[in-house]
Amino acid sequence: MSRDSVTLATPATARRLLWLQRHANLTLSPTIHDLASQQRVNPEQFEPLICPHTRERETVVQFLLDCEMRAIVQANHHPDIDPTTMLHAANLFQKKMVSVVSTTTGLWRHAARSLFLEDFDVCAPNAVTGEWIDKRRDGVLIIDVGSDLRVLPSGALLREFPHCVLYQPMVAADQVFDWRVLSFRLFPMMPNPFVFSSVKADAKDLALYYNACIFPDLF
Amino acid sequence: MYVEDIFTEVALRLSNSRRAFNGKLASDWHLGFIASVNAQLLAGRALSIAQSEIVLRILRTVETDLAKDHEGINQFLLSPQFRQTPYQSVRTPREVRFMGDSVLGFRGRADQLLTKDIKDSGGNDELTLQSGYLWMRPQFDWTHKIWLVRVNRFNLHKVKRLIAKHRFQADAAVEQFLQECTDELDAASACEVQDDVLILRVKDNELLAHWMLDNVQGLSL
Repeated sequence: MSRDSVTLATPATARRLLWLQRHANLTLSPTIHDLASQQRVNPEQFEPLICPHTRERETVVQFLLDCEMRAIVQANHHPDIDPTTMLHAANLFQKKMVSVVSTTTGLWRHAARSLFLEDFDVCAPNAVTGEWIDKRRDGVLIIDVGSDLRVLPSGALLREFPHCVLYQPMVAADQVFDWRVLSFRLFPMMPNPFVFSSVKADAKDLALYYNACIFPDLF
Repeated sequence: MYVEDIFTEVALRLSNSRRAFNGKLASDWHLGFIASVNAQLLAGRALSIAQSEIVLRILRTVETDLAKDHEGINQFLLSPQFRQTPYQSVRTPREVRFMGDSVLGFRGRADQLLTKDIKDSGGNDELTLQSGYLWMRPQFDWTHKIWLVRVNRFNLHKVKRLIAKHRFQADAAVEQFLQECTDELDAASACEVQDDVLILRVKDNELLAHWMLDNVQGLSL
């Protein structure tokens, strides 16, 4: 029942603990509050013409950076978060290589061009090859899951990329995926969120444990 | 004439009719035991001392029925002879030990009821019914022949009932662990920073513990 563990004290982990504290019975020392206020994204890091600063963008980008770009973002929950914002977050993560798997390759190419990304590539889901993965796995991968679960890449591809974000663009309300479908693929070692939420709590309370950014109350 | 031969004959007659021997051996336990021991004898294996005692008791129960076909069976059962000398029975005590990391190890002679109860002790009914809950399912360690059961808030009371029902001998460490688990229900987890290291002490929150290890890539203490 009680388990002790350690990790490096970083501002990112401190901020994630502060978020988790909202849904868990967790006591944090004052040092963690101080730590969480360091190395934050600031409004100057947003390009006014291409990716203008909004509070929503700042919070989601901060969340993605703190989660080391292994997270779930759904535009229906955060309308400001478009492909340009996603690529901007990847750029701020300071991994030079950014890759996207999407059926709407033109849209992503256009967004990448506007941000002047140095090493960018976009690939259709059915065109992903082992060679492409080998070449790109050190960078950030953004998977545009669209609105069809059948095009969702396999768990094997998600495991190949340590920095992998599942992004669902704005879709009709009935096509929004349950975040738990995506999180189970992204974190296969974590307890199945479907099972846990059925007995433990409201599903939304669990989303932060799985790096699912679906909260209007984050702001 | 050997005990094994007579017992095999009894098993054969029972397999033809459950009501043989005037129904004296018609109970499920008798039928199960006789079939199991007969299979052991047909495989050429010797009986244990404990098994041979039960076998003789069964033969004495149906002594009068057997006397029709076997003269002098009464005398024979007073000084029975076995084709293979029965071996010393090994009695494995039922024990439960604390293995660390909220895991209890159960060891003992297995039977179907015990195995079922241990498998059921993984979580509550709603959890175990659903797939994908591997981290909570009891595991059998084939090397050491023990069942490993992770204790959490969902199965704490089931584990306590399991220990009491099957009379597992628990040592002081187990008693202390179970008491701590009971005390920690709904307790607050805590996190502090020491020398650039973040220490998270999780209490009664499996998900937070997994988050730290599987998501943040922390190390277990």
